[in-house]
Amino acid sequence: MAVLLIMWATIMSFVFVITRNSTAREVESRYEGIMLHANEKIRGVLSDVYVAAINNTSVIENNLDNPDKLQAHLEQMVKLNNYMSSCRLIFEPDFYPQRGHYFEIYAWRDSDGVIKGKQMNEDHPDFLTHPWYQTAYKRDEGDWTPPYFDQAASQQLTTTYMTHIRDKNGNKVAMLGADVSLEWLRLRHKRIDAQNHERFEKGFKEKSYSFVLDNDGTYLIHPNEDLILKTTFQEVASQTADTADDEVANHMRNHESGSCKITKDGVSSVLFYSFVKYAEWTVVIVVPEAIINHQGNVLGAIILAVMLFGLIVIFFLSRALIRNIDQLRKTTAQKAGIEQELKIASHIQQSMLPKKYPPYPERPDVDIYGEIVTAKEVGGDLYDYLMHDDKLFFCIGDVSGKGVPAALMMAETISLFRCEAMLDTDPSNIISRMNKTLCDTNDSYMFVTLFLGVLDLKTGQLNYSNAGHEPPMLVGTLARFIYVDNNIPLGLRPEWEYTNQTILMDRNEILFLYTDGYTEAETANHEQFGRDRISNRANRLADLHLDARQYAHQHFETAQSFVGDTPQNDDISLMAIRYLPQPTYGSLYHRCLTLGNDVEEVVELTAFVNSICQDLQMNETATTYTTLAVEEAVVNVMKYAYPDREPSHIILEAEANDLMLTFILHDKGMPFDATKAAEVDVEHQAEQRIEGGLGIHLMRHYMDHISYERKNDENILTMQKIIEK
Amino acid sequence: MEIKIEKTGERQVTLILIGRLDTSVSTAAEREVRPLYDYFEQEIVIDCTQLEYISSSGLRILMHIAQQGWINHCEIYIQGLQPNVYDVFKTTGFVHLFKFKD
Repeated sequence: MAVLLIMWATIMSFVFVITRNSTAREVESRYEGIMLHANEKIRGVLSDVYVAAINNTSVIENNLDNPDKLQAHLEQMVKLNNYMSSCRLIFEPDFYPQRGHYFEIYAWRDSDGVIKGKQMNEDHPDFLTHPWYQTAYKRDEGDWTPPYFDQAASQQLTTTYMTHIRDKNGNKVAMLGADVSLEWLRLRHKRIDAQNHERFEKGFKEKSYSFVLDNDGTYLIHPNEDLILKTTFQEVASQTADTADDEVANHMRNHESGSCKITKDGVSSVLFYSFVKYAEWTVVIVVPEAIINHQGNVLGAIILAVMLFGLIVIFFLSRALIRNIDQLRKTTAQKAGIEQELKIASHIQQSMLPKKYPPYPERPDVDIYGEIVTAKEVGGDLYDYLMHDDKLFFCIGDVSGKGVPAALMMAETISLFRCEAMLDTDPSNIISRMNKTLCDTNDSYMFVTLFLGVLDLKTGQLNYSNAGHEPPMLVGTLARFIYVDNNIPLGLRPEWEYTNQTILMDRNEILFLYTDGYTEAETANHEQFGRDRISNRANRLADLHLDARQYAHQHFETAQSFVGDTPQNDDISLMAIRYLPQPTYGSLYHRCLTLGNDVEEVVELTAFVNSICQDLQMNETATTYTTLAVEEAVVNVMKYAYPDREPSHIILEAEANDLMLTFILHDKGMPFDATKAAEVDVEHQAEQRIEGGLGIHLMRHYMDHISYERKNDENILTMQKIIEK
Repeated sequence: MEIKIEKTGERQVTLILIGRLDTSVSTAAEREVRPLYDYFEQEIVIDCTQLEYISSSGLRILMHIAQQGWINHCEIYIQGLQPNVYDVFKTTGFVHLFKFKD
């Protein structure tokens, strides 16, 4: 701060001095200008009169024989030249003998401005003997006389340009004198001083003044009129203690111009002096220094004041700025703190998810793996699972929105799942109770999509309830989306009754679950990954017999290679559950298959039946006929049980002992008893044959026993085949 | 499932069925045999030598070919049925719908 102040003070002094000096110079040049103007004026006036005199000599010389005409001519000269106060022609003695010994013609402007003329002889004062006349007469050239008081005529300070008049032989016969009264100069300097006092020097005790000196330093014009013609500048200068003015007097005598500082009566002044050519006078202006410096002082003071004001403003601004910076620093620190906390939150959130793999090493019948690849921000994806009573409870979900609110809701959802899954085994009950609790505490209208399943590891029966989540895929030989009812997400309506659905998982089948971060993974061109790509990828991976972790990882890699370097903008969560029932000695052979009512899935069916026949070591022909019969039964349901084409699952169970293979086909389509269908007449010619009935005919033909029942709104068709090895 | 249609003589066209003709492929198969419906007064040979499996959906396609063939005055022959497939033909009476070639 001190350094700043010193710097500021230095700059201020510098600026002040520069301002003061330059302004002082400006003031000086103003006075100099006034002085030079006076100089020019004197030169101009004297030059006018001089020119008038010179120009008239020849006219006068040509009219020497006519004195009256000369008088008229002189009157004309005075009339035409405003600054010429009077004019005279002094003849040599006896030039006009008839007019007397001395003769002079005189023309003048009287006090009313009227031009008059007269001729004088003996009775007028004797010029010819005056020293100034003698001096002028002796000189061959014309010249100005030193100023004098014209006591004869105007009673004013006067200077006269004297020039010779010659006759035809070149003899000096007379002198022409053109008089200039210096009254105008006196008045002019009075006016200049008065103007300067009025305009620039108000309020100053000491004032400027101007004066004019003759070539020998005699005062011609001076505010103090007592000095005029009575004393010289040198005399006055020599009386003062200051020697500067004495020096100036010398310069003036040498016809120089310039300025210098003088001190007189304790007052410092600047003296400007300017030599007037031709007249050989010097014009002087004396200006007190106080006046010269005043303007600079005022301006400097104003600048200092403005700068000081600016400094004060800057001081306060910078204080405010520093305060803002402090605030910003605090905010940044707080933000860093929050980010740190978010990181911790994210860490806590991640730590809530099951991480251990395999999670149930003691259970060879299930392989489960889940992972969330989080986006930059804390998100709301979740998955979880737990096991009790040989049942695997699992869920995957996505909280709407991002950030801490989503993370908190995610945490709450997981806690609720863990709590409710311990109390009930029915997914719709669990999910409904979670929904009610979430609705109660949800003031911010957030919601959670959730798929919740309960897999009975003994039977492979999977009960599930879906609250607006993406449909999982069931991956066997084929990968197919399982059908999910349209239930709304959790947290929106407490009274919503969530529905249960059931499928059966066959051995080695994988249930693959994901969040919309996967389907909506975007490339830089905003192209989304989409369900079709997931389905294609899942199909290709189906044949590889991967474990749950490998399967999920393959999908992650697929998503990553799809989006490339585009930053992930949502969490991607994947979970794979592989069902691996272990055959135990003495237990019944049991398999099951869940299909959508879509004939494309017959491929899956074929693989299923083939693998069973293989397990039971059935011969090729028996395998073909069994496959054919089951295909006909299933296709019949697919094609005719759902006239509205609404998606539904068809579940096929297979059981076997040493002698008999039994298929039980469940569907929720319209009631239809294939055992009672009319026989087709296979002997008909093609052109008469109707298409229907062929499938049922084949099924009945190749199966050894068929029965049907309608139970719990389900068609249950049981088909039996004697095992032929 | 693979389906080929080949011109095998001046007045003969052969449909070759390879693999399993089950319901899952029947829609595609139906589409692929459609060019046969453009033959008139020709011999259509359905070569089943490599046909491993046929279900009712597949039989239905053969029936369409037969019906359209009669309309177009074509002779339809089946060639080289495997035993399992022949059994299905027999079971459904399709043996009566076609003439067989060795």
